[in-house]
Amino acid sequence: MTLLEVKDLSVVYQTRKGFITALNNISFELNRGNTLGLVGESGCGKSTLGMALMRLLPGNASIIKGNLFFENQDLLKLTDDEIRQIRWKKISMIFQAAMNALNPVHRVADQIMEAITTHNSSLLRESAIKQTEKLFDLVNIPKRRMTEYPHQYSGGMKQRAVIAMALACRPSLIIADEPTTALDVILQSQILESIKLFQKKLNLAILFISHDIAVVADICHDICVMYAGELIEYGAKEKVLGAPVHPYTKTLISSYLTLIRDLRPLKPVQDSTTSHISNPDLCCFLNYCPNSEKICRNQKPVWVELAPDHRVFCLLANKIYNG
Amino acid sequence: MKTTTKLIVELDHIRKVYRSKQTFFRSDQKKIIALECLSMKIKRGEILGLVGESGSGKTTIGRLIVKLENPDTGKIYLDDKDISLLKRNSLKNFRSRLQMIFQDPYQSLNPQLSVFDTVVEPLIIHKIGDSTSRQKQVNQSLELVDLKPPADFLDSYPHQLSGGQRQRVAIARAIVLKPEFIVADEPTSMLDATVQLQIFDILLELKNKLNITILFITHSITAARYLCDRIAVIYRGHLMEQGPAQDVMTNPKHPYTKALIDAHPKFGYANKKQYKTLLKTQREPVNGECCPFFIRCEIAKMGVCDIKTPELKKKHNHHSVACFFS
Ligand SMILES: Nc1ncnc2c1ncn2[C@@H]1O[C@H](COP(=O)(O)OP(=O)(O)OP(=O)(O)O)[C@@H](O)[C@H]1O
Ligand SMILES: Nc1ncnc2c1ncn2[C@@H]1O[C@H](COP(=O)(O)OP(=O)(O)OP(=O)(O)O)[C@@H](O)[C@H]1O
Ligand SMILES: [Mg+2]
Ligand SMILES: [Mg+2]
Repeated sequence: MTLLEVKDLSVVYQTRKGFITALNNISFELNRGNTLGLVGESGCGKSTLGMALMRLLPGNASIIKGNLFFENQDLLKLTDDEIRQIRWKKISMIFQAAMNALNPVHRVADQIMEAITTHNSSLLRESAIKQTEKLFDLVNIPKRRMTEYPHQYSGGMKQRAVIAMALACRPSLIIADEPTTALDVILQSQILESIKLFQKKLNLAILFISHDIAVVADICHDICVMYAGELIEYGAKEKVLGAPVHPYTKTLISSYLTLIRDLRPLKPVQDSTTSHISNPDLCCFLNYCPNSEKICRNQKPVWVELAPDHRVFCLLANKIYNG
Repeated sequence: MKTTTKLIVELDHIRKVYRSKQTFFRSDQKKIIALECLSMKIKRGEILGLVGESGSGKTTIGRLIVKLENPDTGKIYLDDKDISLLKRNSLKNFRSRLQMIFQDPYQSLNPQLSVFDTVVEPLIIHKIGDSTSRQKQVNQSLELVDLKPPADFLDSYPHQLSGGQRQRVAIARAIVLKPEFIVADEPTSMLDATVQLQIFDILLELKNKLNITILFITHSITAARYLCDRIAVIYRGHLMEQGPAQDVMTNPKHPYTKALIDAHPKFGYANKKQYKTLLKTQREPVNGECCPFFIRCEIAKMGVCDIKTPELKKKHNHHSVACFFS
């Protein structure tokens, strides 16, 4: 069942130099209990998308078009009061700046307990404490460190505390923006396992933002690949990561450092004569694309459906797909 | 280029303890031992990778080296000089020679400063150049970290940048002084694979062209192998294994290093060999001396690992391990 549907979402930021398009025509769906991975270059608009879903975009951002259907209502049409009933209770977010989300003057356990109680005022103190302890357990922070302040935590511990906070109100959708970025691999695999467990138990949907394709491959069912504010490949994990078609997805995957590969990974090359800034009427990856052809310099890409669960935003998709 | 074996930094039996303040609620003072009896040598011109789990003391080592903090016991030497003795002018000179790229670019960048102000600040503090030359150096720095064209970013403030862009600004700031030594604390943790490689190449270029020494703190063993000459693995403040990067990765000796390699996300391949050195359920902690990894170690033996702490011993080829059974 579809829980979230993002439709043609476009977001711009106003800056002194004019408008920056952070998201351009983004559309995807997320089912209850599923995990959708959002990967892409640094700066391609992943966090902006997360913030838009929380209706927490900064003042200089505007949503210029699109719909965000959550449980069949458009989040963008809700009043501030209505959105407050949804934010944190039904949709919560683990921010990318996670480590800073903690208030430095309060003990970590108190902050998590507050998150539990403010949204559930009928809860008894005893059971709030129990729940807090459970959450600490879940993210693997020893109970004896519950009463410490954020500055006493290492980077990774703070990140885990924030994950616990996002789970506090048992939401149905979590937007996790780089939730395991600060963690070592052992902890990361443990946290991913516990997220999976938690997800099954609560039938939780997760929008998992990450730049690490291996992590996304581990935890997600479907994958969206973004580049420069645009969605460029979308589909089932096995398709997108197993048989990628878009040249950017291919580059991203081949630059991934693995344990067994001794060779230097492939790197994207930029034609030094072209500028970094892409032409909005053409493909956003054009200047870096190793496959580009004449047609790419003449028209904007179109979505090519290679399979019901695999779509690519590239004019050469069929050609690349067929060999 | 021949890498000289001259040391640049040496840590000698460092112990660092953090104490939590007494509060109304608790009168007992909690101690967190961040580093325990840690000795480490960093050679001039090398990239040394420091890997270890969250909370193992990696950042603490970096902060001690650049003198943001002082050890409780033990000494740190820069070019054979004890850095605890530095005063005023020599301290200022010291600060221009060593730079740190901080772990969290959300916290380490001053939100009030534009990108230009952030990157130019070290030049102003150390009174280097005039406004034209500074402008040039800032541009160069930004171009090096691929914030191109620099003009697009100079006037931006941190809140207008993505996580990865901030991380690059932090790197640009650290390299603008062309320091001799950089502590890079997880400098690419927020970047995607392609940009990560670009940054690694920048760091390699700094090493090869400017002979800059780098302490590269990371939790990614693959990144460490790609970039580093040597790798040091630390666990709960103890140095567990140290050696040439390739050796440590392909022939790990310590059960903890093996566990790290096992846990590395598999992508597009199945790991042939699993070391299986990590216990599924931890043992009860031991009171008193023991191997720090004892409670999680599959191969630990009672009567040995639970009664003393193994010392770091050289195996071969500059590869040393602190384990009774390796
Ligand atoms: N408040 C803002 N004002 C102006 N521009 C902004 C603002 N916030 C973000 N941007 C710009 O919008 C683009 C998208 O930013 P966003 O933070 O969504 O990227 P991201 O995909 O999350 O990147 P990363 O992986 O590095 O975190 C970037 O180019 C960024 O510089
Ligand atoms: N100012 C402080 N006060 C109290 N404890 C601290 C302080 N700074 C660090 N610690 C503790 O010291 C230990 C080592 O911390 P450190 O930040 O060096 O870890 P790290 O290896 O960098 O971890 P991460 O990968 O999570 O960043 C941790 O247990 C941490 O909680
Ligand atoms: Mg982001
Ligand atoms: Mg750290």
